[in-house]
Parts: sequence; C-alpha cells; structure tokens
Amino acid sequence: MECLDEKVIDIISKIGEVEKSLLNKHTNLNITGLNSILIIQVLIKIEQIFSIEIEDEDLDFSLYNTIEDVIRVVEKQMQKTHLTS
Amino acid sequence: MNSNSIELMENNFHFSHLRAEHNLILSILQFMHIDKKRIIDLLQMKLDWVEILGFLTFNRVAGLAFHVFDQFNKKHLCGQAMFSMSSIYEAQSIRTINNRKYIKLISEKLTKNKIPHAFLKGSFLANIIYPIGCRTSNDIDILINPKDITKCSKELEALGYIQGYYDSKKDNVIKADRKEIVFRRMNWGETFPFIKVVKEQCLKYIIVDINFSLDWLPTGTEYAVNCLLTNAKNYTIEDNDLISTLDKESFLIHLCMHLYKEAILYDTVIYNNDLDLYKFVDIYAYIYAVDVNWEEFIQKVNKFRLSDGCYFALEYARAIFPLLNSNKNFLLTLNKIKPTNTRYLYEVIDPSRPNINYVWQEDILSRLFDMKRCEKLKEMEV
Repeated sequence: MECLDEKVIDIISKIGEVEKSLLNKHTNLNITGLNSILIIQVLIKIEQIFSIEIEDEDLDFSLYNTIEDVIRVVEKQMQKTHLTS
Repeated sequence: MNSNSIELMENNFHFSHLRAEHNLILSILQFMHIDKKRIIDLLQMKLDWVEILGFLTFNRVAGLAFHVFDQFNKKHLCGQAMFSMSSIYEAQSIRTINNRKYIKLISEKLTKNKIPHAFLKGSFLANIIYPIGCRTSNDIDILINPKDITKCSKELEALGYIQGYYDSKKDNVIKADRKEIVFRRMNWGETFPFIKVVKEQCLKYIIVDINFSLDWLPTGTEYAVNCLLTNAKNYTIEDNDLISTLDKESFLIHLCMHLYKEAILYDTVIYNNDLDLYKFVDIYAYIYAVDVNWEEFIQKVNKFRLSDGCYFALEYARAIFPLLNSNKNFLLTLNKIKPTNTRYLYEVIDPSRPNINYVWQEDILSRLFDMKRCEKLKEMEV
C-alpha cells in the first residue's frame, strides 16, 4: 500500500506541478493546485497506470477532498478488478 | 395572495405588437386552443414563409405546425413550406413509432435488474401527450439515481449501446475516449451519450442520455432525484406495455428544470438553444393535457428547493402562452413559488467564469425572435 500511496502522490505532484515533498496522504487537494480539469487528468492517469476503470459512482468531485480520498478509490477499484479478473 | 396580485400578474401578454410572421408562429403553437380567426387573418397577409419555416424548424415545432396548418384552407398556405413541414411531420411520426421498441427494450432491462428509473421528456410526451408526429425526440432520456450509473451503463452496453459519436459516413459509433466520458460525468449532470445503430426507417441510430441530476451540476440534487424516482408511475406506451415515468407533478417539475438549466447557461445561449420553443410548448401541452395537482406541485417544488427553476420556466411560459394567465390555479401557484429576488430571470451564467454574470435587457418575446440575441448580452461582474 505504501507503494500505491507513493505512486498516487507522484501522479498528483506531476500533474499539479507541486513539489512531491510537500504532499502526503492528508494533503487537501485544494492546496495542491489541482483544479477540476487537473483532477480529471489525475484520475485518467491513475486509470492508465493501475489498469483500472474508476466506477461512475466515484466520478464525483465531492468525493475527493484529500489525497487519501483518491487513494481510497484506487484501492477499492483495484480490489474489485482483482476479484473479477 | 390577494386578488390584486392575480390581476397584476394577468398583465395581458399579447402578440399584436409583433410582426405578422412572429404572431403567426406563436398563434400556431397554442395548438390546443387554436384561435382560427386570428390565424386566418394572419394567413391572408403577405408573409415571409422562409422565415416562418426556418424558425419553426430550428425550434423543433415544424411537425406540430403542420398538424395545425393542415386544418386550414390550403389556398392561404405556402405550398413549399407545407411540403417541408409535412415531410418533417411524417418522419417524426415514423420515428416516434420506431422508437417505442427501443424504449420498451431498455425499460425491460432496467426493470428486470431493479434499477429505479423514469423515462423523461420526449419518450413520454411524443407518445402520450402530443398527437403522433407533432413532437420529435432526438434521444431517449432516462433519470436514474447517481449510485446506479455503472449498473445502468452495463445494461445499456449489454443491449449494444456504446458511449460515443455516430459516424454518418461509416454508419457506426465511434467510441468516446475515457477522458471525454469522465469529463462529461464529472462536470455535467449526465453521462456521455450511449448510441446504437438501429437502421430503422427515419431512425438510423438511437441516443440514450442518462440523467442523474435536475440541474446542470453533477451533484446537489441526489435527494430530489431519489424522491422523484421513488414515486415514479407506469404508463402504457403500446400494446399494454408499461413504461416508468415521473408522477404528474414531478414530470412538470422536470420539464421546468430542463428548460431553466438550458435557458441560463451561456453555452446554450450562444447556440440559440436557450429559448427552444419546443420546451415551452411541452410545458403548455403538459399542463393542459394532464390534470396537475397544483398544491402537490407547490409542495414538491418547495421540498426540493426548486422554486427558482420552476418559477423561471412557468413565468416565461405564460408570456408565450397567454391562456395560462386566465388559469387561476396556475397564477396562484406562480405567486406561491415566486422567489423574493427575480433578477435572475434576466441573467445568464457561465460556470467557467464564476465572477461574471451576463444580463439581458430585452423581454422574452423580443429575445425569442432575435437569432443574434447573444450579442446583446451585457457582461456584469458579480
């Protein structure tokens, strides 16, 4: 899971153009410089890297306040994908 | 409300100040209460039929206009315009009938899989409210709870629908890329359209729009949507096949909210879709075809906090359909849901520029016939 957290933080840092050392699981997405377009880019990148498809119900801005929220959705989706593959 | 306020609201909208072409167009739209004498008088004038035909077609009411004009003596009508309108009317009739099969198939799938849903707008109106051929429908709109989007999408995919664009040259569907699908889902209260090539007469392909919000935002109306779906009712579409739709009052609320969300968005204004006449005709036709319980309507509007949108749509509808001004229950309802501040009736918003509002200076009837109206929008800082 450590690795998953790292990968998500890495994606957010690159897309938001924020120094990685400033980010952790509890960082609020508002202060990462991610606007709505960039959040979509993050989710698309995550789907590509983790080979998952985020469910429609999770394509909702209100679910993503912190980096941990993003990680939680990725974990959930990976588990589902694992169970069905 | 005292009787004075009703009188104040009956501010005698009439069309006599309009040009004959515009007067005729609006007179035709009152198709349930035709004023034959007025239409005959107008038809005897020298009319610009190119403008009339263009306007009726652009506003998706040419089929309805044919249905009305067909009751008049042909010698006063323009043959070429009538031919075009009759072609639209015939195509819409065939299309409406062919569409039913696909509505029924989707309905069966969703019902079998216990996905609460309601068919909206044209799927119901074109089959139940209007005479066949008078209402066109570009797509099948379905309202579902946001939590059921994935489940519903899978069922549509199982029926052969693909989220994408119709390619007329290859007669197939080009799959939308993931970014487009995610963008639409997260920014608007709808999914990317589902399309299936069906090759029916006058219906090459079917578009299904899944709606899960009552306004243009993807979140905020979940409670209202869930309540509306809980009270959904069945109606017979053909051969005793039942299709689920909203209850009478909720259906009207949805029509109002649909009109409202498109009327106040800058993107729809620039394409002149903000005042599509068919949306106003839907409200008028629905009110007179269905026995709306206005008390229940008011309760629901207040419960779901949708008075802004509903007041907006009904207030403008009565400008286009003056008969509504003699309907006491309608006027009482309008007064009861009237927001304290009604400045928003003249405002347009652009969600990508939250600090700017656009303001109209002209009244609804002037705007309606001005196809370059967006140039008259005045930018104001919020």
